[in-house]
Amino acid sequence: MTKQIATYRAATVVAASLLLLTVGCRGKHSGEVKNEEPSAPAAILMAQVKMADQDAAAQLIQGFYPPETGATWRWTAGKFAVVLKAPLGSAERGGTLSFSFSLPEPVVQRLGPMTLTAVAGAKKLGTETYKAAGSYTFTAPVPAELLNKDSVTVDFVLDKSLPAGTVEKRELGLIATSVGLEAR
Amino acid sequence: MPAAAGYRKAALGLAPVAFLFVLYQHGLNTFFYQDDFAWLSLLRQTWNFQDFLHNMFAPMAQGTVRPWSERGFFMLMQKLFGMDSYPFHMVVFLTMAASLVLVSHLTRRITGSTLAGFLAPWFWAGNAALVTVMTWNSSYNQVLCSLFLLGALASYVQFAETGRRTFWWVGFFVFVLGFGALEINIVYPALAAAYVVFVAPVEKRRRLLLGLWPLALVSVAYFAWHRAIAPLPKTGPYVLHWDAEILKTTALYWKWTVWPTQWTQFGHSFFLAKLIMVSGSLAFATLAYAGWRRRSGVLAFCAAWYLISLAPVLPLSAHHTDYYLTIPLIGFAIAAATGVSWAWSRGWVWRSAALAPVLVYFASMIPTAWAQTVWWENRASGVRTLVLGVAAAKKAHPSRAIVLDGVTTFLYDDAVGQSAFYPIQVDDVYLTPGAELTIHPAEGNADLRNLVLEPGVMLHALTHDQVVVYSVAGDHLRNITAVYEQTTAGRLVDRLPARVDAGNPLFSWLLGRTWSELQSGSRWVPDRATVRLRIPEDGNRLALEGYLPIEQLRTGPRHLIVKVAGVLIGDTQINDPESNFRRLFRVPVEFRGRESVEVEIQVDPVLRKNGEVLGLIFGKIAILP
Repeated sequence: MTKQIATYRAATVVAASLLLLTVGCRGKHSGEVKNEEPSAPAAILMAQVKMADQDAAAQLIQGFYPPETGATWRWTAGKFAVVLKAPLGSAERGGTLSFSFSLPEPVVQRLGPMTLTAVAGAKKLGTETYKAAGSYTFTAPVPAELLNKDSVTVDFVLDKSLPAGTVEKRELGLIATSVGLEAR
Repeated sequence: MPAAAGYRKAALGLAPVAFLFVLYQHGLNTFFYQDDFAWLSLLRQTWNFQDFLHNMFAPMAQGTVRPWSERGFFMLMQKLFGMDSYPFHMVVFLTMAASLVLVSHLTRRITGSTLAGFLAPWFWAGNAALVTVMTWNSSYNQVLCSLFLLGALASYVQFAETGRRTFWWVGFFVFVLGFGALEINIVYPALAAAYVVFVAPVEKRRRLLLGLWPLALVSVAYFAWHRAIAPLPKTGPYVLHWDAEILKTTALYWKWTVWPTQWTQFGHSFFLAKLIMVSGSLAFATLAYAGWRRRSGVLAFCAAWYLISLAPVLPLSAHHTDYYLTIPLIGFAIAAATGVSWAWSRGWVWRSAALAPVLVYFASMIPTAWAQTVWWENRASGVRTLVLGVAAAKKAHPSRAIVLDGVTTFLYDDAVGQSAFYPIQVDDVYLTPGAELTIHPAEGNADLRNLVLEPGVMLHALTHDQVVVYSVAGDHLRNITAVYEQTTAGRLVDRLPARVDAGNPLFSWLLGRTWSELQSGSRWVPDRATVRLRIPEDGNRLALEGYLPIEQLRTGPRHLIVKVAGVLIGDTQINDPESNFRRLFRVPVEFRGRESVEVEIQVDPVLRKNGEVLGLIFGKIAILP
């Protein structure tokens, strides 16, 4: 009996130590989440948007999928749109639109050459055809008259995209890395 | 016994518990996800003792009644700790720790080997199939059921060894209580019988088997009762398939027993996976041969435990999940530990031969279990951000609805589509227009259409300061209302929706003046009410969904007349006993494509009570293709 009591006592001490250890190891799992509320009445738009930049995510207004965990790129659908701040001086001199993206091999294999067109309002800014997989930067001039407001909305259209359900549940266009406007 | 020896023995006995806590430590920090929110909703639905009894014991989710491991567990812990997932996990871990101690005790008893008793809990705790139960509170039923089964069997073994009736009664009560944890508890008499037949001394077997009859009767009675309250499903993943698929399912669970289920998903080679499986299977074939040569009842008992406890899920050919292995793995672990203890007593050649598959087992299981646990912790941290972020957002903007932007499919499946905001008492959470293009929900989740706001509704809500827009930004939410207004609002088409949710305040501008005030997410239509909506080009049918309390329906059927732009399109009755109703009416071709039409709903008779005219409760009114 004494032997058993000694073992039980020892077991209690060891178990209690283990418990204390785990209680001491508490990570971030409870409590409250502190949200980010705007300090100014209007948020500031950016002229250059990187796909991983959460601050600019709201400017990706259509056809951009959320980034995969830890990724610096986003898949797009066949049509996608972004709002960009008109950079300083662009209202006078006009600007240049730059869009960096990749065309993955499996997409090109299935769809063949793909044509990308950029439009702002009713104005077609430029169009380009890409025949092979790889990384590209699409550029197009933006006339000054489109940049005389705070921002400009640019719509991108691909002539082809992988329909939803082909490779995955989403419609897939290309892999976007960044998009931006610079004054000429 | 000297104190030092006592501590050494205790430390050795608790070493597997320490191993469990270390290996799955990230599970302690994993937030709630998926089914957890259904159980977390119960407390909000408990207003009085009658509700409590109903929520504890009424059949739910596939007709299950698991008061200790699901309803009671979640309600009690939530009452004590709110939305803090840590104490929930701590209870799971401590239950598992108690089970590990019992596995060790039982193994020592039935094998007579201290080494086997020491090793068995390691084999069990180290198996990556336990990741789900160590990270997901909804699978606590498996852990608690293990404890009940092991506790009942340990008492029965004690009864078999000492002959003291007290142990029989303790085992009996533990067994009966086990039904409140999981239905698989029903197999306990068979497990105890396997112990008697394969392990207990021959001279005691007859008496011990007779001692199991009352338990078997309880299982039979439970089976009959359960079949009566929860008829077998005829469709869906829980349909039982009594065919050759059972063999395939058995093979699959064996594969998952010796090979980590997520091995290839974590980027490891399939070839290596095959080697692991071959190594494990060969080791067990050798062990089975050795057991046969030795006429070992212990191995037969282990095989029986594995198969008996797995048997109830084998006909579920369309629903395979790793946590179904939680209980069967106990048999596997005792067998593996027994094999090692045999080899250890037969010299260095056998020791080495046994060590190789053991090393392969732990070398593949431990890193995968660790990585999977971390993966779930990370995945659930997004849920934590979303749920607690919405709670904070509501606190900051109590009079506005919350609209979430950038929600991923994972977050939808794990939280939004699981009504995750109901337990925190926030009912007006929606998704930005276009979310339906980026979210592809798994089956069984809440209908995305009920949560995504139509562009016209969103625009109206924005211009009338009815909503705040938030996006997920790392470990918190960001209020992007101003940015959203600046960037996206201009692209929202200002047109009426084709679908109106009368119970949603954001749609109130589309309802005529006679509708009642909003009451718990719905409104009464009096004798006549109108609603404005758009009929798309492909709009073919008008759908009406509503509800009439059964008590009022007993006074007689309700006559429902529906007109579109003054033209009668439907005339129907709402009859007892259908309290929830849905009606479809054909929309005349000439109305298709109209940007705005008035739908008129007339109800007769109505109930007049305290100055109110009560016809029917709505519900949704929608134009469908």
